[in-house]
Order: sequence, then C-alpha cells, then structure tokens
Amino acid sequence: MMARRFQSRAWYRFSAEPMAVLGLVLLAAITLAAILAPFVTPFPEHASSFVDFRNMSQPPSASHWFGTDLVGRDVLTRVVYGYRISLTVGIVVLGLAVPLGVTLGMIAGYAGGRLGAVIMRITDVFLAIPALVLAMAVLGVLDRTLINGLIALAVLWWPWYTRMVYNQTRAIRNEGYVVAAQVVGASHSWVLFGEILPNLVPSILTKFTLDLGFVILVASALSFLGLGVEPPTPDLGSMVAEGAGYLPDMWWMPVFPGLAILLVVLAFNLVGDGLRSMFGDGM
Amino acid sequence: MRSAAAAYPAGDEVLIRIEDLWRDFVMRSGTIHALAGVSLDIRRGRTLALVGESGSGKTTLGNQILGTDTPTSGRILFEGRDMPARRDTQMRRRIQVVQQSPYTTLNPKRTVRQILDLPLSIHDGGPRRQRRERIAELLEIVGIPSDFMERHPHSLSGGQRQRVALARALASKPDVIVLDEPTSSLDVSVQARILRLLVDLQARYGLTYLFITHDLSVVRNIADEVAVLYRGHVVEHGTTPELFRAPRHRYTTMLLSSIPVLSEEEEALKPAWDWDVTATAAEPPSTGTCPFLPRCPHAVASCSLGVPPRVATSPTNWHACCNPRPEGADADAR
Repeated sequence: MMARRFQSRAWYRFSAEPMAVLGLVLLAAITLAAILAPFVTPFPEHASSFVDFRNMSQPPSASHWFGTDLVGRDVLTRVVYGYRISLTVGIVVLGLAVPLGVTLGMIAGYAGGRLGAVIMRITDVFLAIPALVLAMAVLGVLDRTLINGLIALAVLWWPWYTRMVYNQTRAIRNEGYVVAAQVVGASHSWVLFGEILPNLVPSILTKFTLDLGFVILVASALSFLGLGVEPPTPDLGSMVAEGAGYLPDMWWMPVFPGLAILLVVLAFNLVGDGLRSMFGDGM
Repeated sequence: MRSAAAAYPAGDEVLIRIEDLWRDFVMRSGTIHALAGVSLDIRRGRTLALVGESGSGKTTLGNQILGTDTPTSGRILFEGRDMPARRDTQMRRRIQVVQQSPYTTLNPKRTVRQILDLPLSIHDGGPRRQRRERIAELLEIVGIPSDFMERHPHSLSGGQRQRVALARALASKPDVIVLDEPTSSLDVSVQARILRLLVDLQARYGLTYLFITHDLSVVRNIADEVAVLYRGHVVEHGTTPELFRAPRHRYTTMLLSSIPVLSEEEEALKPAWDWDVTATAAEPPSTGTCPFLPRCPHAVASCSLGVPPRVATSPTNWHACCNPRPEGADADAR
C-alpha cells in the first residue's frame, strides 16, 4: 500500500516536468518502433543487402520520407533498424559496465583501506585514458566486430560508476542502519547489497539513463570512424559517415540518421534529468 | 585498580568487565587517547550510564562493547571470557544497539517489516510466517501499531523510529543493549515515554543497559550506576544516588552544576564556576597528569605528578581526584 503511494508520488514529481514526459514519450516511440521495425517500416527488406538502382539517391518524397541511399534503400527504414543496433549497444554496454563499476565502487567504499585504495587507483588509471582513444586502441588490436566494440565501450565506461558509487558508499557506510546491520551480525554481502545498494539506486538509475544516450553517441562516433558495425547492417553512425561524403547534394543521407542520433540522445537526457529532479530531494 | 565489586548485593553479577582499555587514534597532529586505561564493570540487569562531554570517549567505549571498533590494548570480558576481536554470530546476538539519530538509524529504503526481519533471519527466527508473527509481537512490545509493518521510515515520527530501532535491538533477544543517546534528539515529552519504555523493558526481560548520554537529568532517572568520562579517563564512578548527592571529583561537580534548575534558590546552591567550555577543545592533550588539570581551578601540586589514583569513598563509589570536593558540601539541592 505504502509502496504504491510512494510510486504515485514519484510519478507525480516526474510528470511535473513536461520535458521529462516528452523525453519519455519519445523514448517509448523509438523503442516501440525499433522492436516492431519489421512491421512499422515501409520497406523492411531494405534493412540488409538490397539494391534498387531505379530508385537510388532519391530525395525525400511521399513514398520515401527520408529519401533513398546510393543503392536505392529507404533511409527511414534503415534509420528505424539503426535504432535497434543503437539501443542494443547502449543496453549491452551498460549492462556490462554498470554491475562491474557499481560492485567495485561499493567494495572500495565499504572496505576502504588498502583494498579501496588499490581499486580506486586502477579506476583512476582508466579514467585518465581518453575514452574514444581507448576504444579505438582496443578495436585496433582486436577484430572490428560488434562484440569487441561493445567490450571496448564497457571497458571505458565502468570507472565512472566506480567513482560515483565509491563516494556515495563512503558517505553512507557509517550511517546508523549500516552499523546496526553489522552489530546484528549481517554478512558483508548483505550490508553491501541489502543495505547500501538500495540507497544508491536513484543515482545509478539517473546516470544509467543519461549514459545510454552518451553510449549511443560514442558508439555512433566509433562507427562514423569505421570502427563499428559491419555493413550492410544499418547503423546510424556509419550511415552518417557514408552520407557525409555526398553533402550537400544528397543531404538527406547523413542528415536524417544524424537527427535520429540527436533525438534518442536528447530523449535519454530529458528522462535522465527528470529522474534526477524526481530523486533529488532525498528519496 | 578494581572497583569495589564485592560490596554489591549478591545477584549483581558482573556481565561485562572492561580492563585497562586503551583506544588510540593516530592523527597527523599526534596520537589521541580516546580511551586512556578505562576499567569498568557492567552488572547484569542494571543500567550503567556513561556521561561526559563530546569527545570524552563515551561513544568510543560503546563501540568497543559493540565490536564495531577494536581497542588498541586492554581486555573486555563477557561472562568472564575474553571477547574476541571478531565476534561470532552468537556474540552479535547478545549485544545490541540503539543509536542517537532516529533519521539514520533505519534504512530509508526498507519497510519496518524488512528492518525487523533482518535480525530474525540471521538469528534463526524460524520460517517466514513465524518471523512475521514475531515482528508483530515486537512492534506491540514497543508500542507501534502492527499495521505500520509495511511502512517506510520516512512516514514515521522520530519517536516512532526510535521505537522501531528498539524493536530491532530486542529482536535477537540480547542480554545487553548499548543505548547511545537514544533520546537526545527527541522532544522532551517523547523522551519521557521512550525512557519509561526502556525501564519497563529492562524489568521485563532483565536487560543490561549501557546508557551513553550527556543529559544528567536522564541519568538520574534511569541509571543504577554512573561513570563520568573525561578525555578518555573515568574520573568518577559509583551508584547514582550517592554520586548525585555527593559528587567528589571536580569535573563531576562542574557537570552536575550544569544541570538547568528552575528556581533562584536552587541556582544559589550551585558552586560558582568560571569556566569557558568552548576552550576545552583547544587544549593540548595532557599526558602523565590529571586529565582535568588544565581546566581545574582547584589544582594542587600533586595533580601534575601523574594520573590520580582511584580513591574509594564508599563500598560502591570512587573518584580519581587529588583535591576532591570536601564531603558534605552544599550539593544536596541537586
């Protein structure tokens, strides 16, 4: 009963921010379109290898809202399919990075001492390396497959969570309820995951939402540099890169995928900001 | 260096014996002795109040008993046996805590039921249904309606939170509860009710309390014995009525005179003190002398010769003062 009341109060605070609601609506639309891509796109067969020379490089029209690319594929279809890759990349990368970063940060903050110092110094080393450079280095050494790209991004993302969680864990590890759990004989893992973690969820969730947008952006940048997904898989970043060579005449080829990236990153940021103000006052 | 335990009536068994306990904190500016050779007995079923100003080491001493901190040297005996640095689950069950701040003592993300379920699930509270019944029973004991079970702490008042914290401490059926200023952040009326509850529970379950506080009027109402701490030293110790009636150590008399009084007649009976309390923190730590020497207006030559030895004034009371307040002076008003 109380839980439901809390949820409705949280939703009330979230919905008081029109931009956050707009972001949520955008996200819902993008996610639904991506999941239902075979059913909602006008030319699902254009998502992979497909050639239609009669319709190549067409400007936006009633049948091809976003125009067509060099081999006559519908850009709108490929943008929607591109979202599939983008969202997958975001979720897989953070699905690897967040649990790792959060666990290490909690251990470092709770244990403190030498163990905490070692973990945090390693984290600092990773934080000192420019993200994109590290990803490019990893992809330079390993095969340029999607999986390796995901691993490279995860490797450069976890330290941010470790840093954030470390600071928050240090702030609450001497709170009364943590001490009370220790006094009553709770195990370290209970104290970490049962007492401390629930209090970190708001900030982790907020950062997670904001980061989904950034991961998509960095992944797009990597594919823009030719380090991402292999063709013919539709990927927003490589579509921008490919189309950029044909500016300004065939502007629709890079502009629409570019706007698509902008839109999803913006949506995640709006929702993230909404979450931040929702959790803001001590919830 | 032992208090006169033999003079206590039979049945007042020593449950916890603290022997020459030191706890040093090494800081950049030097070593601070938070506890400087504390020896005390805590008797079963009784309340020992630890009083002293902030920084006197009373919470540090509580932490040693709870096992959340380890002493630099010295021993703590529980039922005559050494308490190991790493407490086992059984030992954890027997010593519990109620903390000062009602706002951080309960995890804001957990419900009252979840909070009370933790000690039960650790200390074999049986299957889920049995634990649930026990939680309802615990809430009843501390005077919280059982339909509060699914509430979160943020919907509870300060007093209710302290009651839940007390229920959590009781859940594992402990022998000892360390009460670390459990009422100091509550309203006076709420304070009184919590104190009455504590007294009732002690009588009902034979609990032993270590009551840490700076509030002497509370001590007078609840404690059987008082130990006065100053800078890590116990400077006076004894039964509450005697200590309040005839304080001997100069620091104790100062503390007692700080109790607010209602009438001018009472005020007139207080010893005169010209003491800047705020200056205490700036003092250099004294070693090898009476800890109170830098602030004591009654210091004599022997005060700087060493830490004053204990002087027994009765079978139950002693102080460590070289120039104590003369017996029978005008302290009866307190």
